[in-house]
Amino acid sequence: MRSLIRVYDAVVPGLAVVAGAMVASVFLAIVHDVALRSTGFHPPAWTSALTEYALLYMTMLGAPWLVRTRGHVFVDSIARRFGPALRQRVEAGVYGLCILICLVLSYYAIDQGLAAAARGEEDWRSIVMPRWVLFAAMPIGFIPCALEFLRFLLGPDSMYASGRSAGSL
Amino acid sequence: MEWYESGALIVGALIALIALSVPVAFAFLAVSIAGMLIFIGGEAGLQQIAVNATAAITRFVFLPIPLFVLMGELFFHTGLAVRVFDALDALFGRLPGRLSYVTVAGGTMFATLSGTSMGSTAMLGALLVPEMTRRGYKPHMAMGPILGAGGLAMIVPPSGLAVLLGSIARIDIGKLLIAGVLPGLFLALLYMATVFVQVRIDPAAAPRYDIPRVAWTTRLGLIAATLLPMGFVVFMVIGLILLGIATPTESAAFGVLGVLILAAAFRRLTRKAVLDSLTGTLRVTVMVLIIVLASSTFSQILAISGASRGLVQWVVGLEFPPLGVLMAMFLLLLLLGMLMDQVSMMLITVPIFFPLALTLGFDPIWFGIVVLLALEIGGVTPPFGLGLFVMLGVAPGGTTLGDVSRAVLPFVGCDVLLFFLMIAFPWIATYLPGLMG
Repeated sequence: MRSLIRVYDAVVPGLAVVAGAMVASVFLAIVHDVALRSTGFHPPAWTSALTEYALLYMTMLGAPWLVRTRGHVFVDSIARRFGPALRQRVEAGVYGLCILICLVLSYYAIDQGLAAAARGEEDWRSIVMPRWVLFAAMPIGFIPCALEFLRFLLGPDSMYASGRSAGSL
Repeated sequence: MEWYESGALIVGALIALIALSVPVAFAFLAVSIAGMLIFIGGEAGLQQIAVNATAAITRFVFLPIPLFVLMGELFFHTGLAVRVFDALDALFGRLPGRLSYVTVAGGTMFATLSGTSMGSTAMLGALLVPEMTRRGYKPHMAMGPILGAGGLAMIVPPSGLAVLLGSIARIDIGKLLIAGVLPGLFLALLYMATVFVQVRIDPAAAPRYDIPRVAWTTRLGLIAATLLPMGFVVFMVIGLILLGIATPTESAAFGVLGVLILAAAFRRLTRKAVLDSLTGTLRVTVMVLIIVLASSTFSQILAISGASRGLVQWVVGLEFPPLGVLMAMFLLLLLLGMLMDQVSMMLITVPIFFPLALTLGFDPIWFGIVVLLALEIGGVTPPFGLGLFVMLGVAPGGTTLGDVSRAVLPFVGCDVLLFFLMIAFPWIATYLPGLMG
């Protein structure tokens, strides 16, 4: 069990590293595309489709890491005023709700993905991709998110430990 | 259910969940799941959420968000920002209140090179607050201009928030970005005027001090070696869009390329700077895009329940003058700005406000800038203005949220003044986009 947890511990930042590599790849792909186009060469057809897919995948792959590092945006200015007991109950309720949401969405994304695969549905962009690839991103992100919320629910750490969420546009 | 009941239920439930500290993205998802069960019923609604979520962010128009953020992160992590600041510091000479002016000038410059406001605020705060405190500046003379100028990045291109607004409201992102140039510069001038007035009223708030005289040749050298090269990055973003050579998405990638080239030229491009920038970019991008993904069903529920159409028809039926409705929307945005972050309030209000604004005959680009202005104010109003917390993090010990809020008040006044100026002179926001045809 311990080794399984160790593997899982490495998977979450590993997914984030892949997501970070996608950010860099998107930048390189667009520069490559425009450079080819403006010098009279034909840019590859896959650039816009794959960069669009990358947006979904970088978001879903980075989401569990963001839960673990307490990076999701939340407003705790009201809940902070609750007494410790009520605060703890509200926190537990929040974690429970988030776990439920992650599992519901994962279930329906898998359901839709399997249905799309069975029907052989395709996603037509600048290139044609099987549609289930889009749905697959969601359980890959939301199931580890549910596990991260479960850790907050069962463990001693609080998602609100830093006092406020960090960063914005 | 009447439209106002369903509207109150949807928006009320969302705000209640956010107030109970549910992460914003998950609050949107919870309301979407409940809303679909109520208004569509059964599994079809839940399946639709999964379909919406996959389609919501796989759109080319969202690509500038990670790229503009990456541009700003590289700018800060490579030390280019400090270099720009040092040059500006030397250029301002012995002006009374010089450090406050340097703040506004630096903030404006950073805004043209960075797509996020928090980076600017944190950078200006960390650099300037200790120096201003050491020089005997009263806290409000340090914190006010920093918060005001830090927020300029929301309006001045490149702006990640403008890209998000343009894509949600389905308006021309290139034009919206360009439309932010003049209002941003107007705001910078208003901030400078505010500093001037504050120093005239209370000279002791920004005591004069001796600084070594910088020769004109040195100043010209600083402009040529440091500030002018930054123009290359500005050209890569704004110039390429204005010239029609690149779309906003492509120009964002070239903005990143521009910062990388400059950092390499100044020998500041390190592996650590690139990795730190990518980490920071991922954090902000995931945080924003997951809220967008989560909110993809929210506007659909507002439409299905009849709440958005009912509200528009009700407001139009009241026959209020359009300016009155505009004021009400602006006030509501300011109110929401006190309660939640900019991305969330944008996603809640845009599906309701934009159809209303178009029905009342407002120019969508002009209205977009009004919304961004309200968002900028929201970034520095308590209790959830993130800028306030960033500032508290770097302010001298003993500074309270109240101190920071009071310091920023005159600068919020400038934002409100610009709002009225834009009503009187709409060309402030529409002139440059008009040139794009």
